[in-house]
Amino acid sequence: MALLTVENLRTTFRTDDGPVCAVDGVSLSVAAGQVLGIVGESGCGKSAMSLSIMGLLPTSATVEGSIQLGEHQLVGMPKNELRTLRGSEVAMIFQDPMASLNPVMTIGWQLEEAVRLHQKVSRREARTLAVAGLAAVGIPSPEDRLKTYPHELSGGMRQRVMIAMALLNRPRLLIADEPTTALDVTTQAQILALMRDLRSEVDAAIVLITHDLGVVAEVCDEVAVMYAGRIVERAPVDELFARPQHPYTWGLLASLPGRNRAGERLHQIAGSPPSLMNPPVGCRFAPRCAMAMDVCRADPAPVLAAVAGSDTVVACHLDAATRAREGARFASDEESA
Amino acid sequence: MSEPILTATGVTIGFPVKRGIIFQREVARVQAVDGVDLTLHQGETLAIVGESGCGKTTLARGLVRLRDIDAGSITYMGEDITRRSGRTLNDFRRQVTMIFQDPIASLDPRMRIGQSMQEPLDIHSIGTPAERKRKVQEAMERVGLNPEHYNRFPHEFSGGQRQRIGIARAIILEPRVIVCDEPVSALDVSVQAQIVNLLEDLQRDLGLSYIVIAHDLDVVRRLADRVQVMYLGRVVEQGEGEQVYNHPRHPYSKALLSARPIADPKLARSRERIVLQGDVPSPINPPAGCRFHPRCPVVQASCSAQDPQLEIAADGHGWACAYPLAP
Ligand SMILES: Nc1ncnc2c1ncn2[C@@H]1O[C@H](COP(=O)(O)OP(=O)(O)OP(=O)(O)O)[C@@H](O)[C@H]1O
Ligand SMILES: Nc1ncnc2c1ncn2[C@@H]1O[C@H](COP(=O)(O)OP(=O)(O)OP(=O)(O)O)[C@@H](O)[C@H]1O
Ligand code: SF4
Ligand SMILES: [Mg+2]
Ligand SMILES: [Mg+2]
Repeated sequence: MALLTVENLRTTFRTDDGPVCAVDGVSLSVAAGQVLGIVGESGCGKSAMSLSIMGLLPTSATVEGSIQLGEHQLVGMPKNELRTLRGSEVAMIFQDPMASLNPVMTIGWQLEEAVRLHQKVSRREARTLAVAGLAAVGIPSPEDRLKTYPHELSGGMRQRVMIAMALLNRPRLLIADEPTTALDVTTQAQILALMRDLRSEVDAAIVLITHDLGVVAEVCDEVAVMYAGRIVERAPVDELFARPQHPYTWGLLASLPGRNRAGERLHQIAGSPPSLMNPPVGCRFAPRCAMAMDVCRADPAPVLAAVAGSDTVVACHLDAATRAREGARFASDEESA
Repeated sequence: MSEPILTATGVTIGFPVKRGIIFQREVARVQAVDGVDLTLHQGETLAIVGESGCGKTTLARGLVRLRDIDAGSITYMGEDITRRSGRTLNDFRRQVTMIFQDPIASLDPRMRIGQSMQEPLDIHSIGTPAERKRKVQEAMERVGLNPEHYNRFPHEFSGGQRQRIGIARAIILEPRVIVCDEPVSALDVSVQAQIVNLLEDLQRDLGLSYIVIAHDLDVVRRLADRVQVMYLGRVVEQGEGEQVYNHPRHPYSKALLSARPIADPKLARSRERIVLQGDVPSPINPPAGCRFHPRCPVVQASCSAQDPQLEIAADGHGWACAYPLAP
């Protein structure tokens, strides 16, 4: 049973220049104990989607569709009820730790507040939980660090404090927006291990937003590839790397520095992502797609459809044989060998 | 090998640890950077890698003289610039610039980006207003930004575009050295590839030398000629990319390399990963002996007493470990 089911989510920002549809009909689900990875270019709507689930969008945004979390329907839920869910049942780790830490309060104070907001505990117990939380994310001398201010910590340590804060109340759903981008690989490996523990120990569902395909390969069970507000491919993680189906996914895999020979320029996906204010008709990737055909540039846009013999769904007009043949060039080495 | 352009000898930088609400007193010092030597050669790329909090940003800020150093010296083109101030410091700052870890925080949100990029020219009073604007537009074109966006504000740009603004700002003074602190970590792979290509193009066309700080070890492998691995404020291993990546001698370097995420789920599950035991020690009171010994997988009895120094072999490969791994 899925803990989180999002159906046909549409998130629109009102702006001076007109509406921007940042998330355009996204459907996905995550079960307890599962990690769903979301990858995609900057500006494709990943944060807008997670903020929609958290109910943390500015008032200039409207959300349509359905977001079902266990027994709660989050679309249209009153603000105060949402606030109660946040921090207890759902927690989020933000992309920018500085934006969500209070610069004038010690991190100890902030952690203790986060505990006391949702749990009936004494100051002393809150403090104990705060210390344990910092220790769990690998902060050295956690007792001492309680007295420090965010600016006294390195970028990576701030991120760990954020993660500690999100995990304090043992949420059922954790949305992590680029949680390890600012971290070194050893700390990243610890944080990813921490997430795997959280998934198995408290059976939490995790939505992990990242642009790092290495991180995806390490921890995700399933992956959704987003492009310009839509999901273009969704697949079990092994499938995505062994038999990538969408030309955009191929472009992402080809850009990996580890896959390019020294001395040659890194592969770049030609062009830049479309404006979400007036996106191209048909397939939104068509203007940058080396395989685009006439049908791709006209309505209706390709919709997600199952790939025979797998649990993958892909939104692309290419026929199955072409996708299999071309995709094999971008598969993990082991598979293509 | 080409001439050294920037060298650091024994650079040490500390922060006071203060306690007390009204009367703050210094109770300890965090030695964030502790006796680091470094040589950057003309036209080369030197990478600095290491765990979060090991002092990379602090070292970088010291190298470009954005902050003072407590001990040691820095020379640029053979001249000691450690104690320079005033106009001669400005001359140095024109030639050695920095790309910051956080492109969003380093741009003033209320300032039009053209103005932001022009700021260094204003500070150094270079050219007439018309020339400055032209220089900015040239730099914008150079880094792949549309010069018509001169009058836009930072929030109107994507992460990748903001990073390009940061790069434009760093090259506007036509420097010889750029210190890049995490130039691509905030970017998605496709934009990351563009920025890596851009940095390589600029290096080739303008003869730049780079110091690159990055967590992404695949990006480092791609960009760097030489690599220095830092642990708790010190250099523990250094050498050519090939030496450090393929034949790491320090156990920390090996652990670091083994932790890097691999974009292949089957390989990621099957490969051998060295998981470091124990917490990252606090730089406030670093462990005695070898600083890595409490977490070292091959620790020996003498490691808690003897502090190994960095020893550099004839081929340039160096490590600070009493029991180095087999090559
Ligand atoms: N408050 C807002 N008002 C107007 N437009 C917005 C707002 N927030 C986001 N957008 C737009 O919505 C789109 C999606 O933005 P979002 O932040 O979700 O991207 P993202 O996929 O998280 O990118 P990144 O990887 O850079 O974090 C972008 O085009 C952005 O410009
Ligand atoms: N302003 C400050 N006051 C006190 N301590 C500081 C300050 N800035 C940094 N430190 C400490 O100095 C050490 C090195 O920090 P630095 O930012 O150089 O690390 P880093 O290697 O760049 O880490 P990251 O990879 O997370 O960016 C850390 O222990 C940090 O807590
Ligand atoms: S639908 Fe057409 S344009 Fe879109 S990705 Fe597939 S082939 Fe390319
Ligand atoms: Mg985002
Ligand atoms: Mg740093």
